[in-house]
Amino acid sequence: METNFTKPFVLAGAIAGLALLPACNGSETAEPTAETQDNTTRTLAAAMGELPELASFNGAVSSAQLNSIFDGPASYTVLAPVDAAFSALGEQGQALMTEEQRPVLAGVIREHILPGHLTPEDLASAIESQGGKVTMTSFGGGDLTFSMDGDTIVATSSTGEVTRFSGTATAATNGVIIPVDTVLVPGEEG
Amino acid sequence: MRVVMAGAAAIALAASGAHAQGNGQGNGKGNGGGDKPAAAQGQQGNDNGNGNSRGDRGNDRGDRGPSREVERRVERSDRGNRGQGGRVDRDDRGDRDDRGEDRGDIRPANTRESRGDYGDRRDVEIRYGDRDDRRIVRGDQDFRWLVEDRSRGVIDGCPPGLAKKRNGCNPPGQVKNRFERNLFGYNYRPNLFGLTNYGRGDYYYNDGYLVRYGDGGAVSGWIPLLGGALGIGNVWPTGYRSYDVPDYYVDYYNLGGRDRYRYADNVIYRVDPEDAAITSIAALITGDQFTIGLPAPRGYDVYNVPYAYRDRYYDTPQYIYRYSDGYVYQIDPETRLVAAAIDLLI
Repeated sequence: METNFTKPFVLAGAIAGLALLPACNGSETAEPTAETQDNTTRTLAAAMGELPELASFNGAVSSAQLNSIFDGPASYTVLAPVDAAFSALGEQGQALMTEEQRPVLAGVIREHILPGHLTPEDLASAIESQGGKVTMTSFGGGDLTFSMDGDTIVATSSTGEVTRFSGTATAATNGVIIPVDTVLVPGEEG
Repeated sequence: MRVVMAGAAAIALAASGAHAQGNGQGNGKGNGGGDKPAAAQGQQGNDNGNGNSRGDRGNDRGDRGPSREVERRVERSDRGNRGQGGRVDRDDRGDRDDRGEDRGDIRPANTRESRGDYGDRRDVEIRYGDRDDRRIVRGDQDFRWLVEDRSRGVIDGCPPGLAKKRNGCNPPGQVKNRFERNLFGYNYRPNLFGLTNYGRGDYYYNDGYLVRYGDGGAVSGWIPLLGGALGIGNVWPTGYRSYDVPDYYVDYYNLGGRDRYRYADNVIYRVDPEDAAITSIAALITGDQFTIGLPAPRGYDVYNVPYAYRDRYYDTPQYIYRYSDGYVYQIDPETRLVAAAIDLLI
């Protein structure tokens, strides 16, 4: 059992290391299958706050007034876009953070939240055993379909937006944080 | 002989911890599936230090396993009769005073004699007698809150927030376009906001509401939005119907009294009991209905049991376990039928 004091540094190191080694995907222990970090003495809200690459997402969750649910008793799995994913949204990303757009932001975030405690390991195992594709319904009401692209788990929204697992997941007492590389913005309805 | 073997298997299950899954599989097959819950229940007993009752269960399963399926069918055919003895307070859920009494009813210990008034296929209890795990709920689920929530529609008229503003609900004129498309360039629609209970149509976004315009050009209907009109600090909009959640959820989500929360469109809000101002978001709800005896909803392909229960409820060839809205559900992997709900409060 690691102490809470050391965990942020361990996690920061792990994530930084992974970020520096994107070309190692071919190995057995490449980033998408890196073991989920255990931070199960902390709530999701606390654990998310400790992850350095999720500052924008933390800000977005706070802005959408959803942070309280991650301190509660229910379990959620969060596909948390890394800071670079929010940067990639450009002006749209900035507009999304304005008060006027808060309901839209809340809707976007809900698409990134799944019920329960879902680890990448469980997802990978289910993808393998269920023919390469599995579906979970998000709290936005849409389906997220998970599949493998090489060693990387990829999530596809019901409107065809794609995000890839990026970095090490963290298991908290009430859920899991899985960093992803893209914000799933709503697409045109099919 | 079969009894002895089943008993031995149950003891092995209890002792084996991480190896319980494999043992459970073998045991299940050897006994005609009668001991399906063996792995999970064995571990429950272990976790709770109820070694004696676990042993009883193991023997009981071995003894009764082969007849379990028969018993299940009997239970199903007998549902109508059992329904006659039902409590009346479930029909009176609108009455807040019966909450305390009703709360006990959702617990498995009390459901055995009182789960009457749902005379449909939800009631598929398998009788284990007093040796049953108290956490396992095999009947009597209250879905009224979900059903009512799903049946809601756009609220007629002008929303209270806009009505206060000059020209708030008048024809938008030239500014209408601003309300038509979201910042990603698509028309506004309810599912952009996680709203799944509303039909298609022309929706516009206006000051924290999703609105529709009537023939005259003025706002003719509205839906308040999470983070907008339903933002923290705002008073719960008059006209936006909140439904009571079952007492299990009041406890599970620590909602306090009925005057301290509101539930609508798959979101539970905490409110100030004095003025109904929203103080925080308590929980997001899937709204998915796991009905015992019916197939599980789609969209739960992956094991997602909360951390604290993963040692106890893990997938086996006999049963898989899925979490949704405060319960873990036991599901037959072949038929996808929900076998039981597991109370996470006990």
